[in-house]
Amino acid sequence: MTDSSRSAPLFIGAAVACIFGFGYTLSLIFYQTPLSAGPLYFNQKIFYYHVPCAFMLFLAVIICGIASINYLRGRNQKWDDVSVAAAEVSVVFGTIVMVTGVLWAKPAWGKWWVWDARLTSALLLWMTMIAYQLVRKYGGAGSERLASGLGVFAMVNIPLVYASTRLWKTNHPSANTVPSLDPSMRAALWFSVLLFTVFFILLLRLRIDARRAERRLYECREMALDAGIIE
Amino acid sequence: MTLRATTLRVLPVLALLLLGFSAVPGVANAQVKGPAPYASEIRDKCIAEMEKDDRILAACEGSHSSKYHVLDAKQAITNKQFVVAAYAALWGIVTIFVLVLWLRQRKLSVEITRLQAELKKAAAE
Amino acid sequence: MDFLRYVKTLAWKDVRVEFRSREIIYTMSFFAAMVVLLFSFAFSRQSATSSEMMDVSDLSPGFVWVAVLFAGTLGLSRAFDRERETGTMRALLLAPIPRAAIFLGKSVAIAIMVLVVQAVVVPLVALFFDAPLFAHPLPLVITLLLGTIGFSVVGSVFAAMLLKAGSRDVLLPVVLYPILVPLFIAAIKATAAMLDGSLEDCWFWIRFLAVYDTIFLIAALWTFESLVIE
Repeated sequence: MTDSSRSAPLFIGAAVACIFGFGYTLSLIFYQTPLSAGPLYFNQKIFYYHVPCAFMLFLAVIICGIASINYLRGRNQKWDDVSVAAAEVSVVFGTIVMVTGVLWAKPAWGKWWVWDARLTSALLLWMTMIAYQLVRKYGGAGSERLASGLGVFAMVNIPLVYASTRLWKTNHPSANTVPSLDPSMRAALWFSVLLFTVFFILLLRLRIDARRAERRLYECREMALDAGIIE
Repeated sequence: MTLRATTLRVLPVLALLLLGFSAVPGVANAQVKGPAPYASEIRDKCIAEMEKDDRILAACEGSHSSKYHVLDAKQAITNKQFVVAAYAALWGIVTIFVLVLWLRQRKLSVEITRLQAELKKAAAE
Repeated sequence: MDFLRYVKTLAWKDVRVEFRSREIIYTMSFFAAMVVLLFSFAFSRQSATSSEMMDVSDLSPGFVWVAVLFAGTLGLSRAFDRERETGTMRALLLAPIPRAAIFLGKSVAIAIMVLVVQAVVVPLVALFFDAPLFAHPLPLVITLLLGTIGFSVVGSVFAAMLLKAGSRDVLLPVVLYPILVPLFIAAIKATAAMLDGSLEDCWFWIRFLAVYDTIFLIAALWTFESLVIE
């Protein structure tokens, strides 16, 4: 935990900035952007958080993949920590994307779910990362290697999944054409993306620290076992 | 004395002025909201011509009725529910995740410090 | 060329072991046939107007590939279980041959088993559902082959990794299916295009399958090296 305490001021500063930033996005979203024209009206407000979360899902999967590759190459535990943390954060963002997406789709398309390319590929990625969690939890000894392999494959799979789902449903009605955005809307969206990126890094950091603490605890247990303090 | 008297007299005036200025944006907004119908020959002509056409009248008939306003309002309200639900879900998920993470972290640190202290004690003995 | 000889020897070893007992091939084929049968119960409906059964031949690509996928998963875990039971995996890893050769030998053996299953399933679906699957033999064979290669490459990596894991039977499909989805989509699309007679679409999906196979072959060769370490 020496590592985290060294960067603690930065961490806390970023966290506080995040809190204020989220307050500011709320004001941007609800007061400073016009209501969407067309059938979406107020519902379009979900978009400003939904899209950044989807970006974060992809970012997390890519980070997990890169960390997995590095882990497999050098067997450095540090990379394994990053990979675990990114995978777990990606599940959180994936869940958010699914829930907000479904809530957006109902008024927009009249259905909770549509087999559209973007939805399907996000769902598949999310499922892959859940599989990653299952492997970690129930894989037993050596599960970190298996999970890293899955992480690498998940990252490699992203373009293939996107291409195949897009081509799978070529004649889907173009209900999801993003309306030409008002400049203020675009500004709010990009600000939100930036903020979520900072938030994502914070969560990742938090999770990595937790993972390190887990390992330290394990080491302490081993030492205590050797010393005969605990059974 | 005179200075004080003038201040006393001027202050309420200032306050009133301030109040008045603060109302200016509202007034301006009010003006923007309800512009006076401008006078134009073509406008009158157009209205007169449109009133002659039964089909346009028929087409316009329903659209101004309260039924459509109610429908639109309903749509906006249901959308609002979805938006509220989405934002609540988002913050709920994030809060739960951070909370779980934090609690787990705290439990771990407590355990680590306890074990380390015991190890130190054992080493000293 | 030593490398290819190793691959051939290893694959031939597995195939010979299998053909001595025929355990995996028999059980896999029976299972696949049973899945097809279940599909026919699940999706065949009587039409409302006459006593005729409704035509579901347009669903047959899905029947073929789901049956192959399920049976293939079964065969995968059984094939690697055999290695574990007899401890041959360790012996192979200790042998002075490149890891990539071990991996390729294993995937070739599995691909052969899956192809045998397909040889049962495809005629069965064509028969049961009156689907003109054999109208274009060349694209059909290529699609089946490329689909099988992709499946056995990705499947062998994960099955080998899961060799030591506790609940490997459950975890294998869990990790395998999300990765296999693009392959699955492409294979079904190619087969469906074949049934429609739109060969241009079919070749497009076959190319997609080839790209998928290439990418995952590279990824698998790279990961297998560092994954399976005793």
